Amino acid sequence: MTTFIIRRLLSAAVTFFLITLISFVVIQLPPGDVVSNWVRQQEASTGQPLPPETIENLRRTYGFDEPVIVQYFKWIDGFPRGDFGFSIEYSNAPVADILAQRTGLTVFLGVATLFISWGLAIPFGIFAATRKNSKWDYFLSTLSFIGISTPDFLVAVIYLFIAVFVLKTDYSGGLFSQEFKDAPWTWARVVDFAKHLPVPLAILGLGGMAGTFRIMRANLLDILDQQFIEAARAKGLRERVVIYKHATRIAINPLISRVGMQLPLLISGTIIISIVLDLPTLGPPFIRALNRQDMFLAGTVLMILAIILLIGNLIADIVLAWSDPRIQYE
Amino acid sequence: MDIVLEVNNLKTYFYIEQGVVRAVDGVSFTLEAGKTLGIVGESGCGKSVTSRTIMRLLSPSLARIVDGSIKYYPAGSPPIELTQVDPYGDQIRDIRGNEIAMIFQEPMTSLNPVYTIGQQIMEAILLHQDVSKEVARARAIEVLRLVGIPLPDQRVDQYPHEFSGGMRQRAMIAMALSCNPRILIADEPTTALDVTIEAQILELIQQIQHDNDMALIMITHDLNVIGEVADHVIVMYLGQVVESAPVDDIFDEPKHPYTQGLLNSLPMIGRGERLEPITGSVPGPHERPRGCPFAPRCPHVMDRCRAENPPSFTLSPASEVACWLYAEEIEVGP
Repeated sequence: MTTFIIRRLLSAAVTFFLITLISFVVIQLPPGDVVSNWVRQQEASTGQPLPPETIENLRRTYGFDEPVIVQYFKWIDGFPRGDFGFSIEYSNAPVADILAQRTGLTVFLGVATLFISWGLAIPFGIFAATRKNSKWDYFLSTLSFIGISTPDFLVAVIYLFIAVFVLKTDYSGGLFSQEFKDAPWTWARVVDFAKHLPVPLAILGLGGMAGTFRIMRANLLDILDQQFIEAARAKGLRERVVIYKHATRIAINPLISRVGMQLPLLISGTIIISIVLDLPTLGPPFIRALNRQDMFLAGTVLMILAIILLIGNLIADIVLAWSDPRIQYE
Repeated sequence: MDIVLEVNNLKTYFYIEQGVVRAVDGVSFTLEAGKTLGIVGESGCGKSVTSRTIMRLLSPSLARIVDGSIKYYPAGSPPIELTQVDPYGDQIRDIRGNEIAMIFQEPMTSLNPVYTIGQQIMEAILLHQDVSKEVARARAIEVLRLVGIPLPDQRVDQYPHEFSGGMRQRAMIAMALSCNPRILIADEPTTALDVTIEAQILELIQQIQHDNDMALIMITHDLNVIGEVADHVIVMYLGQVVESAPVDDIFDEPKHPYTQGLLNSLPMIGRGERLEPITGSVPGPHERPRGCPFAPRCPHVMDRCRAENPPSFTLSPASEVACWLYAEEIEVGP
């Protein structure tokens, strides 16, 4: 088991290195860079073309005149010191400062969302599968079909509408009140945070539910058709024991392998929801950085997503190896 | 004569979207302690549904027992009418696995892949017997040894995927035997196994049956297996019993044209003749003939067969046949 984890960590390190390299290069691929974007903006606002020397100077200051590969190594050179470059979009602020709090909140939201959507989708999936072709099954399946076919930004707007106009909450987006937005963590800020949390958590959680529900229902129906389920009933076991101990235990395995992929999806997949709800996740700065070719910022976000993906997959593999004896560590 | 199970005119119909499937349509037999009843027939003849109806394993939303009775005679207490018990209730669960146990066709898929063999055997023991985990484990090892699994105290902690097909079927038998059932229902227990393993498993089942005075229902499509183990045989076709007779009569003088057809299509070493298959094929569940179900394929078909389904004619105390050919031979009962 330990060797398995060590081996997986080593391969994760190699994957990580490749991902940072590829994401850095990919961001550089389209013509233009952050400076030309900035220059265009300046020229548009002043109506005057900037002198070429100024532009050249800017490029040199930021090191953009060097080959991509050199820029890349300069960038990763700072990692051990916690230096992930700077963002021109955010007035030259260090990337680490911009993302520090957002990363924490994103991971928190992601994990909390996962718990909520799974905590609801799995029981509903079991409920529907064990009542196959009943009214409840049709109702839940139809609901999940609607859920899966509605784009999530629309869902966000609909839920926001319901939260504000139907349920009369005073939620107006974000995770903090104005006065706590950039404040340090105090007890008052925690309370404020907790007050803001339910609505976005419900929206994010419900968004991921439909897919998980459908997978759980389909898996369980497959398993319930297997011979060993009938064999378990023939032993005289209670139906509840047959469903939970013998069927659900196995039906849940494909969902475990999905966790690895779901974690980063909750971040990249909810960019639009984050913008709609004004959530301080990694999403909004990521999309802004990509638009402006702000490569240190974009590259760092991509890298964080990759790390979360790697960690998620590692956790999924370990849990799966523990949960399914057929999986070998070797 | 010590009767343990009596099935009378049992009818189990499936109510599905396309209509009613009369899977079991009037099956009767009695089962005695220590004896083996063979149920033989082609796929879809209702033999597996019969066994699952006895165990009440069919979902009531899909399959309904529309007629007939299943009387189980427990040792020292009044008989239980199994058609009347709640299929999810405590009464049937106390019988399942404890007094009537079952082994299945596919040893590869009848064990849960995520629990060890020992856990799965112990589960049944702990469920039906008031014993500690240690005792249950010791009993699990004991039954594994009994069914011929080498090194049972090590194998008990292994998972099904670490067992071969034959070993898994042995483990299934061990699981079925762990509570000393009075009736064992074996649904095609050797169909998925090699012939050499098949012989071993059949021998094992018979030996255990003999040691425990257990009644056995052997369900199979393979007449060779029937010849090997059965005392009495019922031949099923489209949900009906077409012939019921002691095993020797079935092989020596089969009465029903279907039984004759089955025997003629059986390859035998040393018999130089060509095999004679039964013409035609089993009709689908919704194209059931109006009269005798076998009429469209029968070489002796008469006009009467197409119009009227024959009742069972008693030819001797132990044998019955449902065929108009025998209507003249004997007096039809009132």
